[in-house]
Amino acid sequence: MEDRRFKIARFEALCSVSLALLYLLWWYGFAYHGTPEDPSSFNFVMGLPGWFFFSSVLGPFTFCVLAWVMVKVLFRPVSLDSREDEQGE
Amino acid sequence: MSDLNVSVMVPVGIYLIVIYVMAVMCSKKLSQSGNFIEEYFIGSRGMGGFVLAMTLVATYTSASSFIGGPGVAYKMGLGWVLLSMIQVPTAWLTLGVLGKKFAIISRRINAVTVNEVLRARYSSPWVVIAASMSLLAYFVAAMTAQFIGGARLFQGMTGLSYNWGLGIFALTVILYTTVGGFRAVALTDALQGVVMIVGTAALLIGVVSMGGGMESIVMKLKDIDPALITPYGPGGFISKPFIMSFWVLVCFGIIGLPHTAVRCMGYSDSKSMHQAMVIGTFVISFVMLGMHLCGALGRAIVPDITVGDTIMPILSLKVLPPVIAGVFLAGPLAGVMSTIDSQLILASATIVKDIYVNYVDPKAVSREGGMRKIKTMSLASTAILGVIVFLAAIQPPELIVWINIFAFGGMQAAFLWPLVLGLYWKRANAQGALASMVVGVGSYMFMVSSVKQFMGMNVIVPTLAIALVVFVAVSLMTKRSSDEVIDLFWNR
Repeated sequence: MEDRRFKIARFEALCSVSLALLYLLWWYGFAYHGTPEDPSSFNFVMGLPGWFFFSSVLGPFTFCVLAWVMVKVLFRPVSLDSREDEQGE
Repeated sequence: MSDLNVSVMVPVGIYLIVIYVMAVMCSKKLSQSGNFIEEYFIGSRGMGGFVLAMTLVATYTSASSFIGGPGVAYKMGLGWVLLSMIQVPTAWLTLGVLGKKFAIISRRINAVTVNEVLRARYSSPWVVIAASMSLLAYFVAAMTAQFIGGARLFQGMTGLSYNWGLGIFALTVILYTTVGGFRAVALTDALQGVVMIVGTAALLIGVVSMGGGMESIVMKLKDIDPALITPYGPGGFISKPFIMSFWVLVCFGIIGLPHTAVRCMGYSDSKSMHQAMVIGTFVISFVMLGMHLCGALGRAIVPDITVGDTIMPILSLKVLPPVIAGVFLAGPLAGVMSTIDSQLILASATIVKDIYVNYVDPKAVSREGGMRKIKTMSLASTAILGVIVFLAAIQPPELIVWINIFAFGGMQAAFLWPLVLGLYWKRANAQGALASMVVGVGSYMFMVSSVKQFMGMNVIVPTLAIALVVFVAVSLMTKRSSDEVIDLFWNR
């Protein structure tokens, strides 16, 4: 019979990859989308160019928080013993 | 050669002493342990969340994160900092994808190396031998490069000669890794992770305050070259295909690095893994952003440095008081040491467990006196490997320099698919894995040395694509794995 912990592991692996893809979208969107060609028409946030602030400062910070949320909400604690039924949970 | 810089050396000296003390403590623990192999090579799988996060990040961050990368950011500006932030997901990806399954399987088969998991999954000596050989070749080259980087940095900041720097530095790493094993590696990594964070924060604050605030620094950069504050860099060097291919090389491909993967079998429970995913992400984001930003902003403070690798030492001596600069110097040294130590202990485990115990003398574990022999061999192979790498770093042979160019991508080409598909795809088999490793590493080496780029992208992208296609095609054309393997990897 399939070990339920491996189903959990597969689900969590998919979650991790999805969050990375989501970060990729955020990163790409803020870095390139709507960023003017000419640096003199940049807007600035906290002294940094807007595209940089949102993609490379706010983005990583947001995804640190999202990683925490993902682990809290979607990840489940399981026993790591080699055969689970020996101990139960 | 400048004079000795005593006030820089004091914090570095204290730091090295603390590391030695930790190693001695771990070696006591080692001599008390009932299971030498488990303790020496994986620290009896006892890592908690904080240590796991730190050792994962510290192992991954190397000389290039502190010296090379910021050096390029100095020349390329904020676009290169953007590129460095591609590494943000690495901690949650590595732990989340290999995850609990890797940890459980390694407990089922008492694995202490990545190759042992491959051996159990594919039951083929050829896969194990191919994996072991590529691991050893790449690790020796990568460790040599790290030693050279660390020694140069030491030289630049303390004023000691290159050989002295290399000597002190190499002796420390080899000694604490040999006597303390994996536990010493993980604990010193944790300390080194903390030092990296403090060093990064100190330098960033120093740079921003010396430059008169973020705004005026960015304006100065814009005056030097407006391209420095765009995502594309001077001359449009950081093109989109180029930067996007780094998503494969330094983000998704990281899952396949054996020395970070092995950490996924060393934690004590699932709670530690959960904590490490969060802490690790914070730490890697902060250190990478801080260091690369320092490099990019440093251009406004010391505008005319030409040799990329000297930028960080010059910058830190310029903006920080000497004692704090010493703390900063300890940061990259920590990054270098924590990468070498992890590779050293895994290379030693590969020789002892994957090759010797598996194929040369399988009965050694149960025979009387056999365990003592394994113990001596383990310590000896760690020390000898360390010395080989040290000697190679004094006068690097051509071959080492050459292999190192391939090390990072080559390891991904060899390990990523066999690991990930082995864990999650039932149909994966030995023929597929072996074909994928051979074709992957072969085509990577060929492309790096001949075409260098593929449609503007790093060649790791086509390499991993080819390796994946070969893996799937060959697996589907050949026999399924045996029921025992499926039972071990999927059933309870």
